[in-house]
Amino acid sequence: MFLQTVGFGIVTASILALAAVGFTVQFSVTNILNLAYGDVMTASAFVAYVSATAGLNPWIGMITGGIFGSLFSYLLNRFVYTPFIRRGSKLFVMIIVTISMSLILQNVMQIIWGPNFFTVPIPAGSSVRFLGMIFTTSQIVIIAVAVAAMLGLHSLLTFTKLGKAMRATATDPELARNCGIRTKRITDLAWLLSGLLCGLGGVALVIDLGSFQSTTGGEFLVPIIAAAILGGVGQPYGAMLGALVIGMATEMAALVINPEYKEVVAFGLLIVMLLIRPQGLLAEVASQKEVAA
Amino acid sequence: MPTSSDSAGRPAQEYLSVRQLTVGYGAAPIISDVSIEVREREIVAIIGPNGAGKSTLLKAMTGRLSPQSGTVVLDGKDVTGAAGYELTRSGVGYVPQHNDVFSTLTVRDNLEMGGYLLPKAEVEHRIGYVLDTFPILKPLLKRSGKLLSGGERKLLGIGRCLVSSPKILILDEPTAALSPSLARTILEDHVTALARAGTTVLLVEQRARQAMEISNWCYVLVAGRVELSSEPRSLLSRPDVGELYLGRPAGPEPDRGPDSVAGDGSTDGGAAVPQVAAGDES
Repeated sequence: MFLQTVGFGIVTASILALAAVGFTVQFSVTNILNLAYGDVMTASAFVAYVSATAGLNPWIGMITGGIFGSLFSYLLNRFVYTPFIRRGSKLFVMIIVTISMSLILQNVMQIIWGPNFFTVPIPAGSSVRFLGMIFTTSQIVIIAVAVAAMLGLHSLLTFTKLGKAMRATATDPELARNCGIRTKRITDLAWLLSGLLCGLGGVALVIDLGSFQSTTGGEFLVPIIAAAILGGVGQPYGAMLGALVIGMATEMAALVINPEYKEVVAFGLLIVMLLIRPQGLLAEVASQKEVAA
Repeated sequence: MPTSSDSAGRPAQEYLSVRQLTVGYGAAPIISDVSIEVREREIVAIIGPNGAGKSTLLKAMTGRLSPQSGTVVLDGKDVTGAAGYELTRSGVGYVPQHNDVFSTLTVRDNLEMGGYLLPKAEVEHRIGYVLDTFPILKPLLKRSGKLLSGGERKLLGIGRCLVSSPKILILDEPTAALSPSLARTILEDHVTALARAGTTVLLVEQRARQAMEISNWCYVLVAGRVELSSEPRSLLSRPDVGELYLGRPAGPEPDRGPDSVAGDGSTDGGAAVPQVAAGDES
């Protein structure tokens, strides 16, 4: 039972890693704390659902959802967030704007799909035993997608000029421009990239949960933010680690206490983290941004 | 009108200039009607008391602030309000006073970002050149920018700019927060060597006397206006300049540490002024 819980933890951590790393990259490069992130995940899941029920292979549906998340995030920034920024809106005003977008997205999805639950039709494949843990095919795919995405992102940020320019822009956009970097293009790219992770995370989430509705992604935002803050917002590797910790902790809590308390545990960890390391993480990045702005 | 001494002896070719520039963040401008010019292969110093608007002027020249009025001309082209990356493309290197390196990137990655606009092979070549110029950076290549000392940081900031072979290097108080001896090294060795190698330098400095000693031309900025535009030797010989415009006598810097006392006599005696452009012009 314990080993199987570790298995669940790995799956949850994979989904969280996709979502939290995307969230962290988005905030650090674009400087917008996008609280509509979870709802973009849900919207991507609906896209995957629609394409899968239309007869496409459900795993192609996952890719479709990822691409939708990518483009939608880009457009969200281009047509909603950027106009506010251009009028001089700062961090906290932008947070209110993203909360509004979150509510709007949730309600639009509820208008279209109602309060019903949906299931992305995934064929029940064979299950795989590994070190005493049992994984379904879809869980294996989710883990593989997460690992591939993390490796890809690591390579991008560490070895490519583009990735380094992204980190440079996240650290100090003005200095980046004085190096010849067109930071607007870099932030556009960051929206596309983080949106892709957001979309993939959303589809992975609803496949793992089995069923979802218009509020599912929004509810998942707490563990995402907990994982991102735990590892240090703006630090993709931190978010990966945070995802592993939160993923494991919530599944262990489900085993030991009660599955109902998963989110409470995520939130509790977040609060403990903020108590013992208030200087790090979100606060550090945010204050650094304001100095640079 | 600002007083100005005869500009004969300056190189003829103007490289970067601002004309009647007015810049501010809100209603009240920080600098008003400022005109300065930097000619090819010169070291030009801008000095003045705190709050005179020196950094604001540089920000308007490097794409960080848009002027309310006036023009910035680079190599004959109007670049007023151009973005930072466009100016970098045109050969402007800028080392801000604060946040002069990417603290989250390694020394090596910082240098690579300096060469962002260059082809890969050339970046390697230029990084090699910078490491030869600042050998202190060689053993630090893998170190994160936030773990550098003040001096290492400043050399990395300058080195990052040098990777792109800028035609003009704009330095905002490069010696602030550095020890007197390190400040001397940066100004008297590195900056003059850069100018000798053909880079035009625009320098804002708190260490007014040292800046004047190495520069070909000097502007004194007070309360957002150019009060003096002069060949620095004549300024150095005027006892009133320091008290009137710099907030302290133009004599030896008061903040020198004991380690540099021995060096004071030599520099105060014979001002080692422009060896750069004057000879190249004929």
